[in-house]
Amino acid sequence: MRGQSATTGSKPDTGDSSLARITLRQLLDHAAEYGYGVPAFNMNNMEQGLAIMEAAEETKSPVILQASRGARAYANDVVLAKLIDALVEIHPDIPVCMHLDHGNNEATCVTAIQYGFTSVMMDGSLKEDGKSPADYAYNSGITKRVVDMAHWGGVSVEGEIGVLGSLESGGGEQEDGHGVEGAISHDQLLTDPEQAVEFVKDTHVDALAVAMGTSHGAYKFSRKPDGAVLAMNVIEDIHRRLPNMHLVMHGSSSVPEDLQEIINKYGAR
Amino acid sequence: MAPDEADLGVPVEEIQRGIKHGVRKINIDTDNRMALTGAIRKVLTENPSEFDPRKYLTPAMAAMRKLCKERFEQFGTAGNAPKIKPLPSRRWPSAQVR
Repeated sequence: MRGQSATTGSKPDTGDSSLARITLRQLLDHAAEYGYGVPAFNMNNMEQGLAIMEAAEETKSPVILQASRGARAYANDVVLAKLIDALVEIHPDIPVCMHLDHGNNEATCVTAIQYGFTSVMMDGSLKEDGKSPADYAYNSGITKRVVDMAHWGGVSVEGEIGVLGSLESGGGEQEDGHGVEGAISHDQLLTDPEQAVEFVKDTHVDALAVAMGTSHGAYKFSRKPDGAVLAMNVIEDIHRRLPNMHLVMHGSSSVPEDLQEIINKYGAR
Repeated sequence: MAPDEADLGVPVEEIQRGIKHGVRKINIDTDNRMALTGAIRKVLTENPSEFDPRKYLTPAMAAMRKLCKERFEQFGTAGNAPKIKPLPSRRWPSAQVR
């Protein structure tokens, strides 16, 4: 039709909802070049999505929105997909990376891509049940398959080497049904830097999550964390060996005192 | 057994140290869960007769927005949106190999 584009029609000119979507790779390459980090906030519903995007708008920040399998089950993939479209349309100047948190197999990753995610995490550090630690061959194999597939479409992939969990208690905390079950050994809870190098070479992931003592949930440490329970030296060692790899810290809430006070004052501990 | 209140999470300074050593993506969920739920509990405790969801979800969103803004500023993300031009999807790099 002459004089009227098929995409705008009579709708207000709010822009193409795909315009400000960004892959994890492009975003983190920029962050590495300019020396900053990007928070990845979990999203399950409209309220969280609006709040995160308003904060990004007010601070002029690019953002990573991430949805877990639990979020996808809770909100429904279609709702999440349209919600992301809406958020991107409302905030056309904010680059948005839509990321799958803790994909447990190839299918979870490919369906996220179908719904418009620009990045997926294939967490092969645990088996498909999201509970049992997997061996290196399983992890590198399944991660490589997801990387091959995702990269065909230009979508980024985060992998994980080492099992997330507390170095104090020797185990993980379940979140959305994901997390190691039972006690595991100290060295499984710390990424082996040498193995990280091998993993990156074998899989070509765009970003690498490492295990160094962070865990999911509100109770991460029983005292101010030092090197024994929060092994920042592991990060530094991996960064020395893989200076171009984008590293990911999971379970990195700071659990600020003012929030603890409010939540305790108005409810049970 | 509740641990010492002040020291439950990953200190922001440690994350900032990580950013100096290649950490680019920092996952945050618990902080926002607490911000949202704390604000909702406050409204419903102070005014148990309230049942309009907007009355407790609006302050919940404000609490979460405040937390997110703090993290954007603390991690150096703030101010970078205008410096990035997202590639159109047809130009997303495929099969990049380091």
